[in-house]
Amino acid sequence: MSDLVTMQVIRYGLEQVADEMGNTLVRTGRSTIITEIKDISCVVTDARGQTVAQAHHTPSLLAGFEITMKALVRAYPPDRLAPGDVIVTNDPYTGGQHIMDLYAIAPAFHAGRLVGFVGNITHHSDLGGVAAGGVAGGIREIYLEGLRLPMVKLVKAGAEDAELFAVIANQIRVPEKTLGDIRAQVSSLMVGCERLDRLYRRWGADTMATAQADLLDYSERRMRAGLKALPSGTYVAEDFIDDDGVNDRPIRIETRITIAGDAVTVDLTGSDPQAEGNTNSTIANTHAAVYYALIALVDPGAPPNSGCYRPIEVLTRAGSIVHPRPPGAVAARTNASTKIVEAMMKALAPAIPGRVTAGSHGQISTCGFGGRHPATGEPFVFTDIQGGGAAARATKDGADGQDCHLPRFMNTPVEVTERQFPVRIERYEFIADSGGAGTWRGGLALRRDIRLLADRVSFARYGDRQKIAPFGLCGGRDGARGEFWLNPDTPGARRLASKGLDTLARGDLVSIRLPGAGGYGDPAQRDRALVRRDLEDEKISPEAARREYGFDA
Amino acid sequence: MAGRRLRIAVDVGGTFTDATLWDPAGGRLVAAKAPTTPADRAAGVLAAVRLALAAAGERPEHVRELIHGSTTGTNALIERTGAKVGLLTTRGFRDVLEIGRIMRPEAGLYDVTVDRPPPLVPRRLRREAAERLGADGSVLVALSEDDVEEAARFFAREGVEAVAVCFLFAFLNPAHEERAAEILARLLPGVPVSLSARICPEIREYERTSTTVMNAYLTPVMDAYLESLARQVQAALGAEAKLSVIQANGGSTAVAQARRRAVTTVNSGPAGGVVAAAFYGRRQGRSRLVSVDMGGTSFDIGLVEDGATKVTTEGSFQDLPVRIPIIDLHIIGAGGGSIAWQDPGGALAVGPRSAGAQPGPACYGRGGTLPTVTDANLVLGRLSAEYFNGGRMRLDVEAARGAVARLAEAMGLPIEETALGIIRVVNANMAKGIAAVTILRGIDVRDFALLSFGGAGGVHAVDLAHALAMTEAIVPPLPGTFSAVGLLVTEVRQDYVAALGGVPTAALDPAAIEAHYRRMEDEARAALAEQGFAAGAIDLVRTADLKVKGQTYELSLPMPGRGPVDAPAIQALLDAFARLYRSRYAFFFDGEPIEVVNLRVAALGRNPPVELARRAPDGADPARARKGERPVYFERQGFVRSAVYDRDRLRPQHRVAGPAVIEEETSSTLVPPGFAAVVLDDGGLSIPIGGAA
Repeated sequence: MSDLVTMQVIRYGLEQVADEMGNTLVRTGRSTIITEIKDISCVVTDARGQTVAQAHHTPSLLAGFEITMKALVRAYPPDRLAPGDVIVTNDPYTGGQHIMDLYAIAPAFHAGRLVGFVGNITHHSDLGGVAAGGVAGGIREIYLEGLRLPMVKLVKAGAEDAELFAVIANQIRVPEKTLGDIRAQVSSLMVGCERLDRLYRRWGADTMATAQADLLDYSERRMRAGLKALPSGTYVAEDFIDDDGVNDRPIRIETRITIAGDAVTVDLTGSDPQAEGNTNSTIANTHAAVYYALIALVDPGAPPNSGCYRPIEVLTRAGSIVHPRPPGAVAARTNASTKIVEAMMKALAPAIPGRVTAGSHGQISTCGFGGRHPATGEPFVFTDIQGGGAAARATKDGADGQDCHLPRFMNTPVEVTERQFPVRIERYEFIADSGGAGTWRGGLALRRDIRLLADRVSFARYGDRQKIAPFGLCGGRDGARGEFWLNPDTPGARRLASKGLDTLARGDLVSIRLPGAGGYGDPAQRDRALVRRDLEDEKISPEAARREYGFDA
Repeated sequence: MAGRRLRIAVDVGGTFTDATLWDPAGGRLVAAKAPTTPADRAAGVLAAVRLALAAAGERPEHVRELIHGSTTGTNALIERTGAKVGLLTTRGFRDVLEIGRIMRPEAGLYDVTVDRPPPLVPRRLRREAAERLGADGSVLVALSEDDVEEAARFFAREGVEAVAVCFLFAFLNPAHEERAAEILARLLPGVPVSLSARICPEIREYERTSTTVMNAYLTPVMDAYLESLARQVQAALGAEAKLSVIQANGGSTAVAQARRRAVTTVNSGPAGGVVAAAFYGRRQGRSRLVSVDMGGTSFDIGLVEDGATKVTTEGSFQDLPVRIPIIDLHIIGAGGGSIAWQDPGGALAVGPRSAGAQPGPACYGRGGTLPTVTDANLVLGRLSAEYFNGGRMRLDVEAARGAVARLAEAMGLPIEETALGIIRVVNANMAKGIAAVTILRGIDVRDFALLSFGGAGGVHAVDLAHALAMTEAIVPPLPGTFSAVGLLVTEVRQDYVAALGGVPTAALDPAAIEAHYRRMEDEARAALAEQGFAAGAIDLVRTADLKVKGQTYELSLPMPGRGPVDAPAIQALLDAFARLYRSRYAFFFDGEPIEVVNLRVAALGRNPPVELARRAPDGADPARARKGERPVYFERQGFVRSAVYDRDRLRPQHRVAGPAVIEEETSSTLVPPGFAAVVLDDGGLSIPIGGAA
């Protein structure tokens, strides 16, 4: 811990490497889930596999990287690695997330020595499985969720393993897209290796090693200082998943947080057993949720790396909703992990009311559509991810129509969508009155209506908070629940299950209505000018203004 | 009028309005400064112009052209003082502007208190009309004129000052937007209407709407300001004095054009700095430059490649996306006034808070107590207490030491080490900013020279260039008013785009492409002729945006060949694409299908050349310019006795070996041990880095 200035300089350099990898991936990827939605993450590690820098994409994908790297370092000692190697896996049971998230990792060399790894994680639009997009709810076994790749070397010293590529291509609906996306991952890694080597040439291996160790210590120090400033004690709260898509009953997640001096334990062992459906959160995903929530609550400015995790202990029980055993299915895992974050917020509300947030739309509502283009007969896979209400805070309204705590992604523009896929989007707007009332209002939900222009289109999804509403906090009211409708406002209108898989016909209209978010504080305390503004903006109705705020226009 | 020859550039800044006069007959540049007059900025402009004329001994009727750069648009965005705008959209999509891309901002990755900026048009003023185009531009639902009329009446009742219209897929077919504009014009006489198909005919409805709305938001502000300015300029300089406005793309345009496309005037001041850098690079035979303008609070970074400024179509202003060609500028909050502090992990951090002009750095003696970058430079002897701002302002060394000492105590470091730490951290921050516009775009910054200007630019230039292993650091003459040179030398520029939506190269018809280019070029020639450019003074640059089929992002390439587009030219274009792609992204797989997305024409009207005065050489020994010495602190050596030179007395080919400080009225240049500055023919300083990394 000699030179904090050099450490800062090298930190920016490492973040630059990760940023540049992300940039390459977005620009060379094929599927809209990479190019528009940007559901990716990029990481640089030291030689032991500890994360030293990440590109600012998706926090939920990163903590698992630690677990994957531990397995990789064991399986591939330095003498089994060469420049130009790329190792991939998507196995949820060795640090993975779900089948669609493919980890690709390359050893990084400098002057002939292994100095670290660069990795990226990409949500693919198709890696096989029962439904296009891999996002069907209600699935009971991991085997149905797609092609589960163990840790394998996909590229050997710069040469693609043609046989492995053939195996993958054979298992998926849109091989050009997926293989193109995998190659984009490889390009990104090669760019990362080259840039990292440049950094080593600039600073030398010794300085780089010291600075990276310092950087981890530094983040640890910041987290410990932040924890120490919080009131010690044990704080407990629960949140719920509506159901697992198989059995119609809520699933409870309990977070028991013990802050003791400069360390914290998050005990999740009181949570429900593993679900029969695929709402189980893999251990990597569970850890990511806990780490995310604590960094956000304790010190959002700490460089996010492995050092941040050192003061954090996570307790889980194998066979539970937050730590499933194989062959449990996991695709809808974010239904669980987002609830871990929100339960932690709720738990810590008495301790640090100024920093926590109310309940948000609390999910990553991914809808997958698959079928064939009517004009060309070519298969297509269209993945649509939307935002809902963001949670109200102690000093601000929640954002209307935004992504949720854990991931960080974008929507796909209507115009890009319609030029690629046989659908027409007929409506994309806020849902009035969906934000929970409060001194600070919860964010509004989004509605997206999608008309299908092809026959026999599969519609897979795993929505949540359609039965149990996003909670309000400190006197704030709950936000609105979400809904999926088929052909609303027609005689054949039908509410669809939040998690499931259906085959729809040409001309059908799917109306995706996300949940809103909970409010914060007593609605009676809300500034009347803000109530009037919301009324004028038609973000709340006159009835809601009267009912929730006693405000008569 | 015969005898009209003077051109005057006016850069309206936050505090001062700079006027720089170019007299081609005398081959001289004359600069003057007047206070900016926020209530009526035109008054400050005219005051600065009069001062420049007086300093040059010239008369108002000799002014041929006034070129204007300002932050009026930028300020309106920062302060949210633009027009009350009504937005008309396709039914079902009025919230696109506010939903945006749903992603929380980068700074909000872990910080739940950070929000996206609010939209420029509140939901109340966003109205819808029934109409719909398909993904190929065909009409699926006819435009409901009743809806447009109803929206127009609503806007009239609300007293909106400008209207933006953005319909889905209008970039492929503008008919509905244009019909809506006719109706709006009839029912809202005098209210300017911005159409997305005209302002930004490109795919992605949110970005297009954002750009169009910003144009509407700024139109009344810019229009009133430019109208008043034009009137006052005519009164002061005569009816024949031409008023031009610099745009964010770095080119200037006639004031009438600028009033129609207000969004193009945002950030035009900093854009002038990059244009000046490109000009200087061409003069000095440096075709690849990173230009940095370091002032008190901000650090503006621009890029010059192949001797030209770099224009992007993926930029943003105040975190709101704009999809028009703008000079690729990256602005970070780092400057002389940036405040140093110890963060919760014990590390030294600098900025983003700034002491600004009030109270300013501790050494200004205006009540500032927090250590800033300027204080650190003073503690290290890199700035002179006596000769700051030409000696007009004395710096308080003890106040600076006191401020740094408090931080040093907290850090447990000696004062000088702390001061040096401040410099190293702010340098690292600035280096990261430079990397963001170079390395992050796949550009190897090691092939570039750093051109550093602005008041604080010279002190940090060598350290920055060294940290990034660049070829050399250059500090141009007149670094304090260098941006204004850009306004004088820039070309008139107009950009045109034809959106093809993604045509596979196999289906490309060279004749059709040629027709697109011809149509844009005819339009361009007419517009430039209207501004007084003869055919011989017009350059037309054809480019094409290409992408791999299935991918989303394009690369922009010049269209090869001089004649009409033919099959060999298209093949050459594809080859160039493959090469560029491979160099950026490591791999290009041969045989990949490629699509052409957009065709673009940049039309440039050449202005008469500006020359910087050359000085006569006087040997290599700068002894006559030496005015003393003082101790300066360096990283490896600690305090070292360093020579101090007067820049005004340096002559071309003089070689100033470090450690040395070269001082002038508005800036200082630091030459560390092991480096040497060579004086260029116009008085510019070049400090080679090569090998030192």
